[in-house]
Amino acid sequence: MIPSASDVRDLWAKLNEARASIAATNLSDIEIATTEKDEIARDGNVRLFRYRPVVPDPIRIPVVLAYALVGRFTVADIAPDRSLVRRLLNEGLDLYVIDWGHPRAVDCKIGLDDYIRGYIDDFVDVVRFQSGAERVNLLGICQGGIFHTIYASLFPEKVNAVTTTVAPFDFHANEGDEQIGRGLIHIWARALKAADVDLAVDATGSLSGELMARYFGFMTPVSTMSKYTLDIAELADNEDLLRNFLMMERWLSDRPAHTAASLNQWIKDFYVDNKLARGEFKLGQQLIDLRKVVCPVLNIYAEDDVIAPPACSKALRNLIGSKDYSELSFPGGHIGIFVGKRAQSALSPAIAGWFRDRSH
Amino acid sequence: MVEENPPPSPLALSSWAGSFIQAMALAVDTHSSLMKSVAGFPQGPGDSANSTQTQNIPVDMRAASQASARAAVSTFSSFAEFLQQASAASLSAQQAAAREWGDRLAESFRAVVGTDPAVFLAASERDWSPNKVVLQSLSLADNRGVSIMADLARFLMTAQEASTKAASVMAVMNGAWLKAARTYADQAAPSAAAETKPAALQHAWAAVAEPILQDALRSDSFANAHASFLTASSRHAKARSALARRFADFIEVPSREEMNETYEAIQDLRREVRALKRLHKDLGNRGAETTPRGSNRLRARR
Repeated sequence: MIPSASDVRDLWAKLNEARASIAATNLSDIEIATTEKDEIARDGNVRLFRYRPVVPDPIRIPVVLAYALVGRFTVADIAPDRSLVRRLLNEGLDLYVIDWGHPRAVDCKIGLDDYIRGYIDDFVDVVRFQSGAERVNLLGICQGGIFHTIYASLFPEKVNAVTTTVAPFDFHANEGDEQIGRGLIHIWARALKAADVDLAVDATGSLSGELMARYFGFMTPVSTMSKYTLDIAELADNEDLLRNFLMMERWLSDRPAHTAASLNQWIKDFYVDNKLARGEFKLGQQLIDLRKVVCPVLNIYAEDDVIAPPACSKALRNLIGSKDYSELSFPGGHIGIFVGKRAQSALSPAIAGWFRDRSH
Repeated sequence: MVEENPPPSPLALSSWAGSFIQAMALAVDTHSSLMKSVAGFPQGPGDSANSTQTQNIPVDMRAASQASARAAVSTFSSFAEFLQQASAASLSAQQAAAREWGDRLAESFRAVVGTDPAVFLAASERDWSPNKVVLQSLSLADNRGVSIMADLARFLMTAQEASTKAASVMAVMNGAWLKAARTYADQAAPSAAAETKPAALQHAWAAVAEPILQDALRSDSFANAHASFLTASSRHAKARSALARRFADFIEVPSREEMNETYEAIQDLRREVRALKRLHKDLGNRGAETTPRGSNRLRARR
């Protein structure tokens, strides 16, 4: 297999064309997360926003959305035509979102307890006050799904229903999974001892977003190498593709640090010791018992998820006390199910419909 | 010392790839020209002097191209061998450089202190050692000087350890890259004569290489090498931090440890404030600044 000289020259020309297009792009034209929203509350760098409802009579019980700490919530609102947020608003949800912001050096001691019993609880109270609803619905993506589920076990009186998406709960459930490329972070973390994690976090402090991005890139070495090289040629004569590519790049480049205190507990208790699934996870001195999650739970996972392997997500069924538990799976990867048009067209009605049915 | 280089920008990467592609184009161009000039000579019975004319070239070129493709696959296999040798050579060169670097530093250390870093480090952890006496007698340092030299010794030793562990991680991945290259060469051989688009070539390479590399990434040997490297580089970071702390003391700026203590205190205060505000709310007292929770920490905007 060998390309002809003219094919190679064409490729070279396309690469040049694509590079010129990227260079000529005005970055202010590549805006993401443009759905209108208002800041409702703020605590340091962490903010609560409310999206402006687009239907006259939204579903009475508001929904609080939370994403993981290692990325921004903006992935749920990448572009107007690929926005989970817009679709959910169109479906009639009254939607709030927690923006974890970018932790600074002074925030390095913010732990998981501060995130869950601090920020989430404060913001849930704000939403309850503002909406007049006694309970709220929670929608969590990845780590945000775990946070929300733990929160529901601690404050069942404030939670009406929980939807988790691409969130792992039993971090060891993928042991023996033979699918290559899936759960690499789980495998690497399981080779660590708790003392290794203590030492690493003590030595390096908060985990920078750049380093985390490198780990994600390392999981697919060849694709990562070709992404900014040969693949760029495909963007040369397709303005939509180029625009979508740059929007995703904008989101990817906006990766916050994971605070040292939360990272330490996150890696040790979840990845290494799997304490949540074993019923041994503590926030402060309080033992977390997921069987206390008795509200309705919808658990959504992506079939090709390499970050949160399906087996780790589906384990939630046997960990919680809810009698109203549903599962939905969608084709796609960890992020693909939020930014792909086809996935969104099925995902948003499923989420909205499920909340609507349980928000009387 | 393990250095972390900033990641190359997408544009820089595409520029390098562009240069690579351009070089390929040039090579193919040169090859085509060569074929054309070869085709200018009589190829056998029936060939005429005008065989260099454009209409006759494609026939010659097809055969030449097929031969060239077969040669390319053969070259690819050779390249895989070369890669193996180069990577092994690079690895041993790196290890040798690390050893030489370590040896030179250790030699300098010995020249000043009169003993090996490891021996010195072990001795310095005792209350009394001849090394301390040596330092005192040389008027090089007081007890603080001994500690500084111990920190330096620890820094050197952890740097060497981290380099060694990094080489172990590289060894696992080098093996995987080599396997990918060989497998690709083997699989490409049957279709060597077929022409293909560059994108198809790239996809074929990715389809072969990605699973092989990911298989290596999920192996116990990689996970263990990675864990060892992480621990070694953390130890080195701690040793570097200890040296920095000495310097920070010297110029009277707070060290990282001191700042961490401050951050911890700030976070404790934040928690206390949060708890007090909740208590305040529970008692039904509204603060002067009206917010949904009666809190002036949690500033409500609407």
